[in-house]
Order: sequence, then structure tokens, then C-alpha cells
Amino acid sequence: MHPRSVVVRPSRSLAWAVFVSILGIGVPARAQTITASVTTAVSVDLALTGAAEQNLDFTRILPGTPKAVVAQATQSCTDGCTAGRWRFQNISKRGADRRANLQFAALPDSLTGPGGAKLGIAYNARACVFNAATNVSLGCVTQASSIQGSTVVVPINGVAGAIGDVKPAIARDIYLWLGGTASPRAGQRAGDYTGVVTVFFFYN
Amino acid sequence: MRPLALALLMLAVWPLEMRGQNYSLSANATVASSVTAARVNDLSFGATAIVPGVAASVSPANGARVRVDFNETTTVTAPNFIMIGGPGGAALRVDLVCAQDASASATTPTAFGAPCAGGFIPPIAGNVGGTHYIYIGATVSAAASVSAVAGNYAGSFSVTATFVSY
Repeated sequence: MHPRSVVVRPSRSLAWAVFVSILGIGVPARAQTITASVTTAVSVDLALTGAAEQNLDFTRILPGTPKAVVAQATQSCTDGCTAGRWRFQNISKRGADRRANLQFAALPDSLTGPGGAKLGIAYNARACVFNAATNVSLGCVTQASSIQGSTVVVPINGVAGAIGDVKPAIARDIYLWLGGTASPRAGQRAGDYTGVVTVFFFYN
Repeated sequence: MRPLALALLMLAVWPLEMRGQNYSLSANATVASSVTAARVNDLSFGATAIVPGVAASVSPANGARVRVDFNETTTVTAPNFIMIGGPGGAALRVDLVCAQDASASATTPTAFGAPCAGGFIPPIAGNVGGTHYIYIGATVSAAASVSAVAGNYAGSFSVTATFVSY
């Protein structure tokens, strides 16, 4: 009985690897230094942060006399700066986030006062996109009549009219102002009235 | 282990962006106070003279009347009595009796639950205030008039509305 010989053959892929490696080991004709610059572009969105910065305040009103508070177009204001204000920072730069939506999830059509008395309110809103670095307004969206469930839609990325959608991308903030008109009736019950307004922020 | 470690690292540094979030603020207003009191009628014992030692009175329905407009809880008071002046500095005590009604021409207004100084709070409900009338009658007791100097007597008193000012 002949002893059985076993031949171990390198795998084909290993053989190719060795072959390629041998080909790749060259002998430099002369000493040289090669510097290659590689540009790496990585866009990282910071997490959205939002805050309700200021309450909407009609301050003191007289029975039977409507009073309006303006939703400002800029960060300056002319009527005592008593519009409601939200600020949203680190607005998305992702192309998939085409619009920032500011939906009034809760917007009471009346404020509640002493003894459950109601004070009628009509609202309007304005959202403006700001360059976060320069604090310059890039454009605004106005909602003439805001009601519960209505949405202020701000185009931000990759759609017609997208505000501040430039290359390279810049950091943007959105301010949302809420103004309105309080309409006390003649003989409206005196006292403090209040209500809660909630904005739901989402992209689509 | 390397792919797992890389995945964990990526999860650790990946921005956890909140994709939808609620943000709430308050809407506030203060409606100013509007409370007034206006005289409608004066209080008079009439043309017939009071006889000394004999009590005389005027019912609230026939006495003074004050209109009160209010848009908040208001306490209306008057003095329990007043001293009115007569000839030569004489004084005559007049006791007041207060009543109230929502109507300007009530024939039987409802008496205050307390003396005039104890006050009355006109009812208020709903979104607006209202209007109420205060009726003030008077009595000159026999004891007060028994030694009164003859002549004309006159005086004044205030009806006061007290409220929290907004």
C-alpha cells in the first residue's frame, strides 16, 4: 500500500492576492514624496431645539374696545413686544426635510377669566427663517388667520421657495410669532384671562 | 467585535434629532375694571313737615336711587345713618334703609341682608357684568325729632362701590 500523499494547494483567491501583492511592490526609480489632498464633506445635523420664549400678552384692555398685538416681521417690534414667540434652532439641512411645519395643536378661540368668563381672541402668525450666524432674516411666511389645527408651513430644503437653502448649507433658526386681536365685549368681566397655546413642530 | 463596536460608537455620536415636538406658551389678557355709581333720585321726606316726636319714614322704593354698573364683583354700601344739618347748626339723625333690584323702577326692592353699611354684592355671571339699582329709604325716629328745631334740614351721603381694580 502506497502511502497517500497529500498536496495542500493554496486557494485561488489567496494565490491572486499574492500575485497582486508582488506586482504592487515596485522599486522606486527615485525618491519622491507624493501628497494627496482628500476633501471630506460630512454634513451633520445638530438636534433640533425649540423653546417657547415669550407669552402672548394683550396686557390691559378695556371692555368693548378690541386690542391687537402684531406678529412681528423681524425681531424688533413696535407695540411693546408682547407677541408670543417661539424659537427653533438647528433647522434640518437634510434634503428629505423639505418643510418645517408649525402646527397650532392648541389655539383656544377664547381665553378664560374670572368665574369661567370667556374673552374672544383671533390670531395671526408669522414665521421667519434667520441666518443663525448673522441673525439676519432670510424670509418669512405669514398666516393671516390662525386657528387650532392650522399649520404655518416653511419651505426649507429642496423645494421651490425654500428659505435659506444655499450651498454650502448654513445654520438656520426659525422664529414663530403669534399675534392676534382680543375682542372684549361691552361690560366684559374684569380680571385676568389666560389660555395655553401649543405648537407642534415637525418636518415633512 | 469590530463591527459591533463601530455600530455602538455610531449610535453614541449620531445626533438624536427630535422629529416632532410640542412647545407651549400662555396667552394672557387683563380686562380693566369698569365700575360706576350714578345718582338717579335724591332722598326726600316730601313737602309734609315732620312732626316733632313722631316718627317719619320713606320706603326704599320711594327714596333715593343709585344706578351701579359693574363688570366685576363689587360691594355696594351706604352709611347706616347720617346727620343732616338744619337751622342754626341743628342736626337731625336720619337712619337709612337699603334695598336693591335689577330694575330701575321696582316697587318692592329686596332689602339688604344686612344694614346699609354691611353692603350688597350685585350678582354677576357669565362673560359680562351688569347693572343694578340701590334703593335707599330713611326713617327719622320719634326720639330724634322730638327736640328738633323747626326748619329745613339737608345733608348728603355717599353710596360706595368697592372692587378690586384691574
